[in-house]
Amino acid sequence: MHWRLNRRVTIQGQTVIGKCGELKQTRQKIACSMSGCIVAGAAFRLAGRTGRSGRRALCWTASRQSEVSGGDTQTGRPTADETTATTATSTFAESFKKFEGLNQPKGDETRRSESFLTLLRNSPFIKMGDPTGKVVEGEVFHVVGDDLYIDFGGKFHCVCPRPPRRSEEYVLGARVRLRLHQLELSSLFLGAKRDLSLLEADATLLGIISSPYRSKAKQAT
Amino acid sequence: MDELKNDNQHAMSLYRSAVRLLPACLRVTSRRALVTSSARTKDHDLHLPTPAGPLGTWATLKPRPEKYVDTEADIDPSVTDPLRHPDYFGVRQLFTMSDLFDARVHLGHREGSLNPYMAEFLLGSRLGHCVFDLERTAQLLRDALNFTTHIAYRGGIIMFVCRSPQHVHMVERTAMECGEFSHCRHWPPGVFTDSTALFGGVTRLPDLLVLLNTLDTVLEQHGAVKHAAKMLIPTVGVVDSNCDPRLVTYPVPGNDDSTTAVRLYCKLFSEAIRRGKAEREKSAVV
Repeated sequence: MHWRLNRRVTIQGQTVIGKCGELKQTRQKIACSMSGCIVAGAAFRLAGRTGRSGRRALCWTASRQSEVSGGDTQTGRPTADETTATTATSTFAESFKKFEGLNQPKGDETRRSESFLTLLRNSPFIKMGDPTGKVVEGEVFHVVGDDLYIDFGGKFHCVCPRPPRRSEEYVLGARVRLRLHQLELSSLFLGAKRDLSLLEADATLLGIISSPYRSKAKQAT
Repeated sequence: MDELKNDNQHAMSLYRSAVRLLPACLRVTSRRALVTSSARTKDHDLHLPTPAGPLGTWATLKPRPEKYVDTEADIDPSVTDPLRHPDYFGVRQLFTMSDLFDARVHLGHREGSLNPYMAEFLLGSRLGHCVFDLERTAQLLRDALNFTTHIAYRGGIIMFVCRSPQHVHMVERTAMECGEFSHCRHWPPGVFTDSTALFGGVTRLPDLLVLLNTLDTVLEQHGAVKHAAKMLIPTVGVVDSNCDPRLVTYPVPGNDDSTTAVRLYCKLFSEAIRRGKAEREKSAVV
């Protein structure tokens, strides 16, 4: 993506002239010219015409630079050639730190304050899409003879027969893997106005993930 | 289906005539801005369950208390009367949106079994599975809990009803623990309407019915819904997407099939009852 040379960039009242060229070079050059400016992720205006993607790219650059310049202000403004190498590694380190906590569970406060639509949008129920064929994890919460009642987090539980292989491990509290077919077994019968529901889901048992039987056997030995 | 409709209409007309027979001093005189049509103008100053507008339920047609009462306002120390306060017992602090979500309250049945009167409570459907609007559910649940607490505060008898076999034991235990009553077995036809003959004497009927499942089987509505309306007993009911909410006084649209959801409802209602009773004992002591 090519931009015109010498675009005037206004960042929080300070005007910085950045030399433009290709997108990759633009990022680094404007990053250098903005060292010393504390942007802190704020949006900034571009004087003249630029595409939306250009503005987005510059915003991204600005926020990156703010993290870098936070540590570099004391050392002074580095030259363009030196910073290209250091900004590359330091920006990676910074972004690594930023995304380190992504897999950790959210704190209670953030969870409580989220709206229903946010919770729904980020829920496995929506992300899963069509349930047919999806592999999910469930827990055996009730056993009647050879029938295992398994709860996998949907509205209904599913009932699966105990498999012949490793059958002693399928006990109350075992975590199992299932392949879903339907979230609710309900269908319209001839002559009926509304669907008749069995109040159960339909799934096939694939195997064991963990079982209290195994851990007890380990403790015994 | 037609018989059910006739029964509902019959129940509604009985309810209406019963209210008219009450002396005027017992009628609630506060005016509420109901939607009026030419057929309903004569009933506009009485508290009645809505006669059937096409998709009208009591929950939609009555104005929200937020319109004339600031529910977020700080407690005014001069307001000591529990009935004047919008949330005297603080029931809105009993649950959060994420509590409802984690308990799977938003999951409904499939579109094929959707009752048309429940459509207003749905956010929509995801690949044929109905999803409740939990913002709406939370509002109505707060109303229901507030009402339950007030009934308990005034020493009313509360009866839990649930016909889902996997939850019967949980509900009966909940009722026992908070010192109230439950009837989770087969419902004989004359329990309310013919109680004198059935129990062999004049019987005090419950002052509130808490239905955790308004259906008896998947196809039929529980008889208690109709009979409570006939006997002017208010009901709080969890209505799923295949239930009929019209005769329930305080419908709470939500999941009534998942164990997590029923456990949450039991916990909330028992806590609400406990708060009401504790306040009653405190004021009696004072």
